[in-house]
Amino acid sequence: MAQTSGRSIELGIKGGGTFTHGFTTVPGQTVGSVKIPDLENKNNGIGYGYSGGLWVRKNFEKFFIQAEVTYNRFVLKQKAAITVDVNANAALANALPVSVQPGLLNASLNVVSESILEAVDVPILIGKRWMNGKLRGYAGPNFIFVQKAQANRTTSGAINANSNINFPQTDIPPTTGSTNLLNKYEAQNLEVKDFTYALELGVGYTPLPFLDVDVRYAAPVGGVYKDSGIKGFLGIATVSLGFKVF
Amino acid sequence: MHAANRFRWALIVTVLVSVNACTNNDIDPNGSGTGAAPTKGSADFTKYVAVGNSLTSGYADNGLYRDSQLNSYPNILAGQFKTVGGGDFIQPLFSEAQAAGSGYLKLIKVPNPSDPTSLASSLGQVAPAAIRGTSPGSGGPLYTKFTGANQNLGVTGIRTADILSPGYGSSIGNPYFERLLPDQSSTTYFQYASDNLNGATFFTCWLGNNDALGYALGGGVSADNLTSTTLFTTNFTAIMNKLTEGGRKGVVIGIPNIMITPYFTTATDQINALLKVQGLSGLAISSKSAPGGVRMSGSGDYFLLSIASVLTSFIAKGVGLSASNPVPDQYVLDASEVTTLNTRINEFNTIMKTQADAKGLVYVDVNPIFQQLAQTGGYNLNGITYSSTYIQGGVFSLDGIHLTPAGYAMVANEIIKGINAKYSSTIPQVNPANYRRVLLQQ
Repeated sequence: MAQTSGRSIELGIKGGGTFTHGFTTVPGQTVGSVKIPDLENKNNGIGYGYSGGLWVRKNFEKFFIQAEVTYNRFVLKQKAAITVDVNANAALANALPVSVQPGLLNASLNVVSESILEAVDVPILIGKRWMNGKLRGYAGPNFIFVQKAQANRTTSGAINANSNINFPQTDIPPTTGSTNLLNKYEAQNLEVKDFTYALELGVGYTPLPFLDVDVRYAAPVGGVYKDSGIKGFLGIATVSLGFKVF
Repeated sequence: MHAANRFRWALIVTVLVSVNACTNNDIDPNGSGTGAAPTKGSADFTKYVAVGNSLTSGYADNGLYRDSQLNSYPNILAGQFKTVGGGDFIQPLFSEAQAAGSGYLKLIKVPNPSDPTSLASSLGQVAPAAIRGTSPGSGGPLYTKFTGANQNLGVTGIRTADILSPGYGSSIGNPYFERLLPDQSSTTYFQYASDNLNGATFFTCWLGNNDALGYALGGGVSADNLTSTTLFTTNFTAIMNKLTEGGRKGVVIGIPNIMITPYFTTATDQINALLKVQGLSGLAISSKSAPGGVRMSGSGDYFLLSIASVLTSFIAKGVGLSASNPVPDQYVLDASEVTTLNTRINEFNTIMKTQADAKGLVYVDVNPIFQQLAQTGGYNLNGITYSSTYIQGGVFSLDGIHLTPAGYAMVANEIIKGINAKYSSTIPQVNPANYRRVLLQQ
């Protein structure tokens, strides 16, 4: 316990980076009379964010409990390819000079998205020390209070030709748009919960008495989306430095 | 100490929950905005009745059919009136089994903008589904009857000049009025409106268009197709007095400038573009005001959309290429006829506005928005650019005169703006993007 300074309660600040990855499958739905197939959002690399806040640790003889309040930014990068009726996408349908009867025109779209989620996290962790207190291992729940959830998408592709109606193949130039995923009217079935929870585990190393280096991994098992039909996996790794104040 | 710690944690959690609760993400970005409950102001929308012509009935695409009726501006308005205490709105709908009603035009292909002759082959005809017989007078169709109370009194083709005429709704009269009346009825439109105003608390009146439109659609061939201002004043005064009985509040909608509609601009623009390519200054047109009845077309003359169906044969026969073979008068509204038309429309609008103002009614002039549609760049609304362009403009239906559902939604919004301003109400507008434009279909 030499590195714990012997205090039963320690308090400090911390900051670091978040590394998010994941994939989701949005189940098919019907918009009016148009059927939208399942949307497979695949992982498109690691999204980098940040984390910063306060931590407090209560040391007991054989274990410790650590609680934190941090503000976090998670970035999830995904990509999807889908062919849908033009009426399935209001922006696409509205961009056409006429309304089109469902079933006549479809579009092959490539959607690259970057979903940004900012949240206040309150993890409550229980852990154990080794190596004379220098090495820590811990796990516990993380209560996530979502402050902002926004999806930025870039869509490109083409409206496919239909010679029966004299419609030529028409390229869709890349267009960007953003959706507030906390607004049920904007997000619709992609509405994000404003509170959820994750299971978190990690290890920490204390090379100096006032410095903690931590690596964690969390999975929001409480679900991110209000629609329970959306399946997939989301993982968040965090690397942080902690400075003990007292 | 333990109590103090618990307090601190409780405080943190409370602050977090409060921060979350203060974030209001449940506002509809396309909604009316404030989130406040709509109010009716000084008007009473409990029972709304709409008086008018084809525009009121929902006529579109050269026909009256169930879908067009459901997208009539009175039906759109009634939906918004419900937010401030309005009741159900009964329309003389064609049944689902006869949804095609009188039949109508449909867009079956994307036309080539640079080829005027492609217009005709881009349109198809949906067969009528509600014909029950033939008029012994005109030989035209008689439509399936609608009986019972009615709140959308829009009758296709009716002029203000017709509203006091007995027999206008007989089997040799107007088939769209005839379907609303018992067989062989001599009931006038005025009487029919009176009967259906029972219990009405609010009205809209959009009459007068056909008192000028017939003249314009006929290429100005006969001035008899223009209603005299004397007859217009007499009949409009009569219907106004009836509609405002008991202090009933309502709206009068003026006649828009029909020269910006695709019926008059589409063929004109295309033919003039072709002439420019050919190096021709104009086509020989029949014109009553010209010496000898023939002259070259100029910038103030309008070729009607009706010419599209005969354009190929006209080109083959060299029609318009010599004074001895001019474009027939019924396909052209020449500059002097346009002046005659607009002068009379202005007179009608003055009469209507004067009476509306005198009776404390809302007077809605839709010309500003129509003018905006006709300008370069059109009218951008919620990400859609609307214009007065034929087919692709989104506002005018395939007949080039009547409106698409999106166009009728815009008219409904103009009326709502007028009502809110006059009667201090806060009725929400609709989003035209939720209503279709010209529909490409098979």
